[in-house]
Amino acid sequence: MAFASVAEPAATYQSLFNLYLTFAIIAGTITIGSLILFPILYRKRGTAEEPEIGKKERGNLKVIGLVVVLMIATLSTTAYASFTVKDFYLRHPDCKTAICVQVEAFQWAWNFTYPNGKNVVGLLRVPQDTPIVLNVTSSDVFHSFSIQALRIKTDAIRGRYNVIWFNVPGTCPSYGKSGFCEYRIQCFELCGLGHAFMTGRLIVMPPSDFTNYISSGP
Amino acid sequence: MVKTWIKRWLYTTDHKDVGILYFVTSFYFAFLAALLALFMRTQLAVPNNKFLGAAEYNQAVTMHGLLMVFWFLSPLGIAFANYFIPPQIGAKDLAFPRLNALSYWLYAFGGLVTFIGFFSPGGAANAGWTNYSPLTSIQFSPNAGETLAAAGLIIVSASVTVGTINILTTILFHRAPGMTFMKMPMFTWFIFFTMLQMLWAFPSLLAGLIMLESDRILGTLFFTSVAGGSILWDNVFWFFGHPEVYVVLLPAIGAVMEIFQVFTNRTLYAKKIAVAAGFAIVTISFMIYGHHMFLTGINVTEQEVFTINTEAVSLPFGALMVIFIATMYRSAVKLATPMFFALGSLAIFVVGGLTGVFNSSLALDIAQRGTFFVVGHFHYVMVGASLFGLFGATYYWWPKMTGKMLSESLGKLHFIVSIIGFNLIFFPMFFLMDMPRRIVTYTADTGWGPLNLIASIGSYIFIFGHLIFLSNLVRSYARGPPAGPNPWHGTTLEWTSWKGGGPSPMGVGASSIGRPLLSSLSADPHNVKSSHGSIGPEIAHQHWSGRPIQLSLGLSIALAGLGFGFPIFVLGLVLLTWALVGWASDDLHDRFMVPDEPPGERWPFQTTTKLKLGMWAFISSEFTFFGVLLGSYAFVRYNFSYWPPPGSIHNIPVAGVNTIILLTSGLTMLLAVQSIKTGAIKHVRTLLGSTLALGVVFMIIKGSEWYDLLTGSPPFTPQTGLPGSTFFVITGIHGAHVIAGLVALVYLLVRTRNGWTPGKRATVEHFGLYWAFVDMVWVFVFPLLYLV
Repeated sequence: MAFASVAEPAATYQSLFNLYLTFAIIAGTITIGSLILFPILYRKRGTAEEPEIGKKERGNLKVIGLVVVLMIATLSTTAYASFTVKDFYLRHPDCKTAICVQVEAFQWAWNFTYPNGKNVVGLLRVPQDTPIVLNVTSSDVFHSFSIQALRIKTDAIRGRYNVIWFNVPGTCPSYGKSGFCEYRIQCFELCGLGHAFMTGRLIVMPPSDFTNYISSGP
Repeated sequence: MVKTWIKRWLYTTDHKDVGILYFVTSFYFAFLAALLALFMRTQLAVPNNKFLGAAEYNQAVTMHGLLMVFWFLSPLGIAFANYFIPPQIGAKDLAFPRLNALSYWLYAFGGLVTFIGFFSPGGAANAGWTNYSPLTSIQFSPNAGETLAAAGLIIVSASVTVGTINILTTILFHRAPGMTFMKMPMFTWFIFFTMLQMLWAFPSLLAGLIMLESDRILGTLFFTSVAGGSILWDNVFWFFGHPEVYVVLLPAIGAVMEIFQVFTNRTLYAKKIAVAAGFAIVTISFMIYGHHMFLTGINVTEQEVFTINTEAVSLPFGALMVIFIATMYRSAVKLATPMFFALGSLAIFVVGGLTGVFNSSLALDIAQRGTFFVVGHFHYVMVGASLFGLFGATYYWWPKMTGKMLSESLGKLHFIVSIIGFNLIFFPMFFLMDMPRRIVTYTADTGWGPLNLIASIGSYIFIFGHLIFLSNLVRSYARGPPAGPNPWHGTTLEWTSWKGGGPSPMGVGASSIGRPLLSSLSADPHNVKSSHGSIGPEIAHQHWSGRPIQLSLGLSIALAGLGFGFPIFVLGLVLLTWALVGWASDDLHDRFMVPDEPPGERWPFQTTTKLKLGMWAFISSEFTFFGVLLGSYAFVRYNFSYWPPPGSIHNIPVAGVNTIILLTSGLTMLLAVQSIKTGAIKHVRTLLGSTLALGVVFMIIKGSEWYDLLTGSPPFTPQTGLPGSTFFVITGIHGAHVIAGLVALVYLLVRTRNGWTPGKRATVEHFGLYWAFVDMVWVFVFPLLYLV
């Protein structure tokens, strides 16, 4: 699990998304294509053909049946892939190999508690190449905790503890003002006036810097 | 003259008038909601914008959703249903004209009660149209606006229940001879499906709202406690909320089917499969709501089932799409405005449906939940598919409603501008997958600025398109060319000789139903005559009743009193009582007479009466209502650590005796109904009187039980814990049902004081059903609340 070359589970997520996107583009092109093409193709011209009304009701079960079977095949594939990916999301490492952090949402910020009791609001510092497990809850209303760039999210609900995990490699898409790699943490459920501003920062540091940080008092 | 005009629109119970009222009112609310949308798009156009504050933005986002879903899209479909279902099935009017007016006025006043929140201290509701608890609790949203929004939704739920019973009964009971199920036009079919969904989905919302209001006003703990809380609300709300998506969509699909048949000059390809697909959508729609809760931490097996079910609902929609495309295959497509909108609706629905498959995945939802991807998706379904379909319906049926044609060129311009505007607003949202919904602003470093700017520009274009639409309507109404009875060569019954604005074609003859009519119509649309003469205005006046508006006003004022204080509440109750007494007295003196519909196609309900059918429909919706209440009770009890053991709070012997009293009243009622059936009429009034007496005794014992609990030491109150909250709310609602029954009993006794008629006998029988249901509910409530 350690030393990931890509951020997980974001990479797994992306491959699933691409699978859905492929199917959607194929299905969308065929259907929207016919919806545009047929009216042009069969547009009523000057001399109208004999109206079909009054003739026997049409309907060919085979065509519809074929499409439904194709859809079932596609949807089974995507559903199975989704279950596999969800399973990957749920198989979080235990706190022996990972760093487990308690996350408590409140109006309108995040409270992070490290295993050694260190407690920080709004800033989550983690070492790179190390699995991190977050145990998310809320002390007041319904929030939703997300590090969107890492494709992780879970609802923060009072009385419930939802677990998510992630692992970030040393390669970094954007460096923040801390000088380290940073990701945006944000609330994704309307939680009152401060909802838009309920953000935080995930700071990914080299392990040695993290060790210094975590042992440097509360 | 003006007075008569005003009186007509306030007192009308005619289905066409009520349809027009729905039509106009829904566009009024659409205008308000569109303004709010425009404010939001303006705010989001650039990063760090200060056009709206967070408070205003949250109100806008909430009210936009509420108004669009409950007061625009759904009622616009209902407007067409009101106007065109009776003529489509060859009926004179809806089954219960006064209930139709009642459902309209409840809808209109409910909207006002919700909207008036803007003018109350603290502003309108601001917790999102989904009303997620515990943000909606009094602790986090102390403003009256939230209470008023919930009150408005309660009123609209009442409106929906009354309306659906009415339309369902009409479709089942008022079809003309020859109008068998399979000959029913597709619009009628899809309204039928919509009604089934509304009938069983809205009671869940109603139950949730009653619990929410009781939390906010009485201090119960359903949604403020951890045992109930967010997850309870999610279950109750989304059990309603997901079927609601199809409720909004299906009328549009039905209208698009009508348009397709007329403008391709073909009958619908595989109509039977289309009907089957409709039934499949109704059934599956109740089994998929869990996909709104993937990240709440519900069991993963549940999530997998909900994923499969959600993907399964795309199968009937896929079949429908094949049907649409196959209908066009080798047809003669006439590209008039209604057809443009129908095609646009379907093309947009494809995008909405496919992105919906993304959201159905329990894994993909992890990143998509709460983002603009979801906003894009559901606007493609709700705005795109529904709104474009309903615009198509407007262009299609406007000539019938007004007798005037709309401008084709303005119509096509409207289509082009609005489809460009629409896609500019919502397509960029699929690329804003990292942007949370419902945020008032964002910083520039997020990179969301350019796409938001495109969306905002799109929103102005979209609005401009609707100004074209509005001008087209006004222009046509003022000086549009006359439409003639059948401008599109429509093949369904509403296009027969009857002109818009006049009386409906009443019970068009059996021989002309179905395909023979279609061929005769396409030969010469002006040839088909209604088999009935027109009704004169003097008879039309008998259709007027002031009671629906009075009753709705009373109920709305009373419920607005939940937000505005006790005096307003009492004022509303007084008005409500006055209206009810008036309604009853109208009936006692036969002041409101609706001519009976001649018997037509009533399979499989040939032997029943329409009131009985309506009563059964009502009871089936009450099943959902009490099911959700008792389900919520089971939910909080399962999640709550301590529950007092049986007998420690309640006096079981007293409650047991009370149960026996209520069941005995059920027996006397049953005997009354039996006596009517066997003709032993002279005992009936005695038996009804005994039922009343037993019911009153039940309520008195119930009252003393409540009094002892509330004043005991320690007191057992709704506020002291979930056992109290559930007990008082559930027995309270059951008690309210008993009281309603007792009032009805008094009315029956008054009505039967001088002799019996077949109508009076039937009324007693229908009441017997209700009373049996109320007893049956108690058979569940008593063991659940007292014995275990």
